[in-house]
Amino acid sequence: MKTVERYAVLVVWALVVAFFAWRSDTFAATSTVQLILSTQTVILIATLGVTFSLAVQEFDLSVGSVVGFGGCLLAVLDGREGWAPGPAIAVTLLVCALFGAINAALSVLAGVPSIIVTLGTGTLLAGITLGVTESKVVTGISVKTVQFMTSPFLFGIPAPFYCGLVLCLVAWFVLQHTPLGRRMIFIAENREVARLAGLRVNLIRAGALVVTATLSGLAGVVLAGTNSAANPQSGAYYLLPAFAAAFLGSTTIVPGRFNAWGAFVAVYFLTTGITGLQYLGYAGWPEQVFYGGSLVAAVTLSHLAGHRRLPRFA
Amino acid sequence: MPALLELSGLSKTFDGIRVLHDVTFSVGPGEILGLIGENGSGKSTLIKILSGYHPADGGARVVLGGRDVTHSLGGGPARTGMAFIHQDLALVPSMTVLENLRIARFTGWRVRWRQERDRVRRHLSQVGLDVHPDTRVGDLSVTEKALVAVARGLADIEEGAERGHRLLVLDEPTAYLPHDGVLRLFGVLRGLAADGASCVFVSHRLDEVRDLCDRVAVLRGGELVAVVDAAGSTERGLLELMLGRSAESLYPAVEEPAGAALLTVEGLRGGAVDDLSFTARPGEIIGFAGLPGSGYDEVPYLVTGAVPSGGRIVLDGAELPPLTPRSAIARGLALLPADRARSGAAPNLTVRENLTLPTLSRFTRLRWIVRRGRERRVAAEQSERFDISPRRPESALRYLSGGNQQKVMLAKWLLGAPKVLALHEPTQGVDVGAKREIFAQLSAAAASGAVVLMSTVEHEDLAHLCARVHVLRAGRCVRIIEKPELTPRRLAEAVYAIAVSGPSP
Repeated sequence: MKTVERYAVLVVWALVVAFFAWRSDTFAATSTVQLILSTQTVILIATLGVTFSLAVQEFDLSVGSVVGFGGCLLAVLDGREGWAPGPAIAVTLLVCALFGAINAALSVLAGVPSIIVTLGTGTLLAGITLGVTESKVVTGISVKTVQFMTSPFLFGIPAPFYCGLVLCLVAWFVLQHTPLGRRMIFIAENREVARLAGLRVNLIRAGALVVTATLSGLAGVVLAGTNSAANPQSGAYYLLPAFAAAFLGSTTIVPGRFNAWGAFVAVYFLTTGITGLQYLGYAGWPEQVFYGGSLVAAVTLSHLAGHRRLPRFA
Repeated sequence: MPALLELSGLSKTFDGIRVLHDVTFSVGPGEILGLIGENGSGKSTLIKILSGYHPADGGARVVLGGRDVTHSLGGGPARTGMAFIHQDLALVPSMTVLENLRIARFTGWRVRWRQERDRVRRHLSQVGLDVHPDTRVGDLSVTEKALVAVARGLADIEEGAERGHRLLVLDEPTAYLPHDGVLRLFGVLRGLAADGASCVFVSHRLDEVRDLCDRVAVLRGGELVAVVDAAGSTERGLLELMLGRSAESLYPAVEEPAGAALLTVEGLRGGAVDDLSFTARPGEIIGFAGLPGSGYDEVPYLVTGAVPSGGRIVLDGAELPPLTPRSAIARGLALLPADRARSGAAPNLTVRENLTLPTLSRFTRLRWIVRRGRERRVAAEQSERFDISPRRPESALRYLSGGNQQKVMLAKWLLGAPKVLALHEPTQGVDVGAKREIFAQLSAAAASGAVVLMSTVEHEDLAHLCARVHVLRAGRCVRIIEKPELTPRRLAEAVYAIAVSGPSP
């Protein structure tokens, strides 16, 4: 029973692949794999970011805004201001981390629930992004950056995917194999128990929010670099998919806990389905139906199968 | 006179395991029947069948007031004439007394508040409670809350057509009540019984059962082993019936402590505690007793930094800076809080994860990698040592009984070999077997040189285990009772006598 639950999404994923391979002549090809793996790095990184804060029971709704903001800041520094790619990316991530620190200060120190804090700060940041860019697409990102983000690195897939893979490894290691990961689970389960056991609850919660913002910023960097331009409105598109994938991921591999490989499987399972639908000639509405439908089905089934496998939110 | 409630042939099987076997008994009108048994004896299952939560196996018959209600159990108090008062009371603290009593029973298209208030006042007067119906339940004392729950049970029954058939089932209602609250509740229940209502009273506390009940039904291993007259029973006799063997002493032999003071506390302040000083030598178990509000129950939290405190704490000759839970643990002070659900355990995580939480950094390689193999081994050892059953460290804590969960909590803190172990109600809601195990472990910890601080309402336990007990009143220690003079009776006298001689509130 436990094993079934762990690998259910993987099995369904295999079935989905088999189905599209059967229905579409062009689906079963190396190019499809490359396409799927190359295009979803932004969502993968954002999902990992969300996973970290969800793992300590914090809701960060500013993720989408930070993706959009990060992309625009990179475009401004690297493109408009002509900085070298390295410093531009580093400064972008640093600013996003600072934004995460503001979220952390308000929700951990001031004690306002993070879902409310980040709803506010996220909206604020989206507005600032629009203001700074005058609501226009920022172009002119250096060729060097764009090339790094888009040219094949290994097996015909660009470097950002491998960066996402490494982040998955790190997240898996931290969440599953370090004392920190265990402590995060206790903080999510019962903050008072964690405090009385001597854990640095506030520090860990704050750290999780900073990591979420930094990874969202990185997702924005990848987004802008891949598109060679940054659209100040693009961020909003990434909020819900990241949450959907994180929740779907929490039903598999390590059911009931937000986990890295679960997130990975969820992101690429959802993408496979959508890509397959596109191969069959459906575009537009079926994507969202597949996305939403899979999430609700997986979460409901896992909730009914396990007694209480879903993370809860007070 | 015919019985009010007759149960016959009640059995229940879960997954092929029989947890209740052919239980038959009756409750007369105006009778208070005690129901006792160890954790796992089938008590809760029996109550859950009566409340309609589980269906009974075939062949069972439940007759209430001459009517066969076997198949309408769970139909609500109005239909069955039975009301249930559970340990957690199931009241909504943010709502008023009136709303709690009437919320599901408002009829018509608008609420006639004045009429409702009058009705609620009548129910409250039945339990001798003089509070305004618009008082928020959260503002009441625990005792008053319990009485509100009883009043609601009565009110619910009264909704029913057939008056006169009134049965209250109380499932460990006294677990969270202070002593005077227990007395008050018992007074109310006796009054109701004199008025013709019947009660089934489930409790772990044998003294209460003997005090309150007319007869006592004893369950062991799912079978009804005896129904005895409370008046002719003894606590030891009941215990033997529950355990099925002659009761070994609950309490281990306590060794004589020696040496210089390990812990010195001077002028401790915080919460209701105003000014408390005490010292403890290695191996001593020190008790704290008092009435609710005296601060006796806050000492463990203050000493371990769980609640900010003032005053001087000297451990091993070194004065400690103001403590947080983190710094207290690092210095060897551990706290076992009373409220397991809120501040003790993470029920959805495994026994192993709960066990190693505070000591996790000892199970690492290079500080950053959890050594799961070693962690598993220690969890298994700890389960063995504390006789935690089932012995499956990988199952979620919530599948364990209350007594075993409490053993896990104690095992978790003793894994860190604390110098000072502070406990608040360490045996609350725990069966006799687990209680004995917990006491044995506490005395073993003390024997190995730790100081144990214990705040509890269980005077019997304090009297047997402690080297001395500090009795608190209004945040100060008013009396210290030392070993030779320490008896439950003297302790109770000290706790209550002081209350009587003091200015009345």
